[in-house]
Amino acid sequence: MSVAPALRCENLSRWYGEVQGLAGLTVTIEHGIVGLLGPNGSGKSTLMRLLTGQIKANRGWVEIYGQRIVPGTYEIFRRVGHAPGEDVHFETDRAVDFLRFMAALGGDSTSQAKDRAEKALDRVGMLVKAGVKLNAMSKGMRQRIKIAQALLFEPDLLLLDEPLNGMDPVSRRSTMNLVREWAGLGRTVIMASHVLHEVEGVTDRMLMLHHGRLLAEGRLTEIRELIDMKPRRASIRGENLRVLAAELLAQELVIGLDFGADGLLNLDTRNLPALLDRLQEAGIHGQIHSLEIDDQELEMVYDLLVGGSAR
Amino acid sequence: MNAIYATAIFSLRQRTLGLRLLAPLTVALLPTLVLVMAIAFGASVQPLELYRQYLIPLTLFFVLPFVCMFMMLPVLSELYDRGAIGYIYTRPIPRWQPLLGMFLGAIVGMLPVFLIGVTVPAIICAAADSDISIGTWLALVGGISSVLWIASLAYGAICMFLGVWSKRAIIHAFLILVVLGSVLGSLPGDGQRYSLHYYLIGLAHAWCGITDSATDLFPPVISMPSVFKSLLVIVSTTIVMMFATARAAKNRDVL
Repeated sequence: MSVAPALRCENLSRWYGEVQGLAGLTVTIEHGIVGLLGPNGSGKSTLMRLLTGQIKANRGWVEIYGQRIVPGTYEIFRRVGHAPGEDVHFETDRAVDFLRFMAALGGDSTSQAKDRAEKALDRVGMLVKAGVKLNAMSKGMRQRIKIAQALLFEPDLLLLDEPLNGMDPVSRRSTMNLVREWAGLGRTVIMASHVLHEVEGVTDRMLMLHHGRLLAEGRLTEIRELIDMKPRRASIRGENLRVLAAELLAQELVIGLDFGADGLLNLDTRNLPALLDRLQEAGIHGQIHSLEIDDQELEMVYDLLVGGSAR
Repeated sequence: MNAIYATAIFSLRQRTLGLRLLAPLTVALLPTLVLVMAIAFGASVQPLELYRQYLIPLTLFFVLPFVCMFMMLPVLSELYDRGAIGYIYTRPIPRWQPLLGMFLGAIVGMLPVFLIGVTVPAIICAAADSDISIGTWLALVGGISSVLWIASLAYGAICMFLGVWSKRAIIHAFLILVVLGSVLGSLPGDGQRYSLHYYLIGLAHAWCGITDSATDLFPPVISMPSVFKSLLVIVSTTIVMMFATARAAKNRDVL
């Protein structure tokens, strides 16, 4: 097992002309599974490309297992598997031929490449489709082929860029199991996604990117604390709501409110638990007839977090 | 070595499968069409001279640069455009290996195009004039094929370099292969020496019996370069351009 961390970035920055792809990212990942979260354009793919030496940093540096990635670096990529976010671009190739080609590029002889390709296909459950051309496959199948090529050389560091895109539920589950198994062997997996619950299904360790910057880092529980700091909305119906609203404002339990149609009162708060306690009290006294809290889906909460930082 | 071989096979397949050979083959056979029309309309020139004085210069000055551009420019630029190069550049091998493999594969893919372009008209001419021995035709076809193959190394390497280095590779390739190559090479004067075509004429002189004075489509050559000098220049250009390609690939982003 390596002593050096799987990944270290220091002030890593990249611009595309005047567009900022990644800005001053400093992070260290020792091992295990880490979710890389962010909406489209947040810098996830830019980071993946920087990690795999496909693009150069404008500022800062990145090290993989203690080796700095500079133009001309290639040996370290024997320990790195990368499934890019873009579709596979070898459409006219059969799955097994594509993987054999990738294996040969890693130095395998013809027979070694064939064995390795079949093993990788088997690992992602695609061995039965080995002879099918990539352009005859569904997007989900091609996603699995991409993951298979990333696994070819049993990498210590596996980089997956939106690996679950286009996959059916069964493939998703098996891919998530595969990621967990891979990390269970002491390896490192960085899985980029713009969907929180996809990442949540495999890990609670996350990096959240937004506009190329690190928005949050840590465990999901820690990130939830950040999430709880963000304004939430509760909507109520009932009697004497104007009096209640004035009272909530005076107690600084809400930071904003508005009356909607049909007597609906929308309350924005940074302290949802305290507000709920107060509303529960009012409910006991028959003042409140209905209460709705904004969707608790993590994806929604994540959007809220990103939206908050954007403002 | 496995990586070079694998990319050579990949490149050969990419360049020759499907309808990809249609455009280069069409270009390669255009001089044949001219030759057939000349014979059909009863040209006063004998078929052997038609071949030497019209077909060979047309092939060298027109077919060669365009076939090179058709066949070699997409080798890398297509992979960059489609984003497929990322798969290749993230392998644990130095980037020059797949570049060399793709170069060799595409060069091999060009051979049948050139061979068809010079063999078909030779067969037509031989049929039109049965007095000329088969050996003469074979020597002529072998000579011009060799010139084209050697020329494709240098021009192919230039196209490979442009495919990596330039995002407007087609324009740059046209300027270098057609303007600097064919046009400058066909203009009389010292400027001719700065064109690779000048050295191709040197090889054609030795291997196909082309003279140094202006004959029909052939430009005059003030001082015919020797075979050694011509080969030296062409091989050196190939090596330099391949090094430049590797250097450019090392420093270029995949985007």
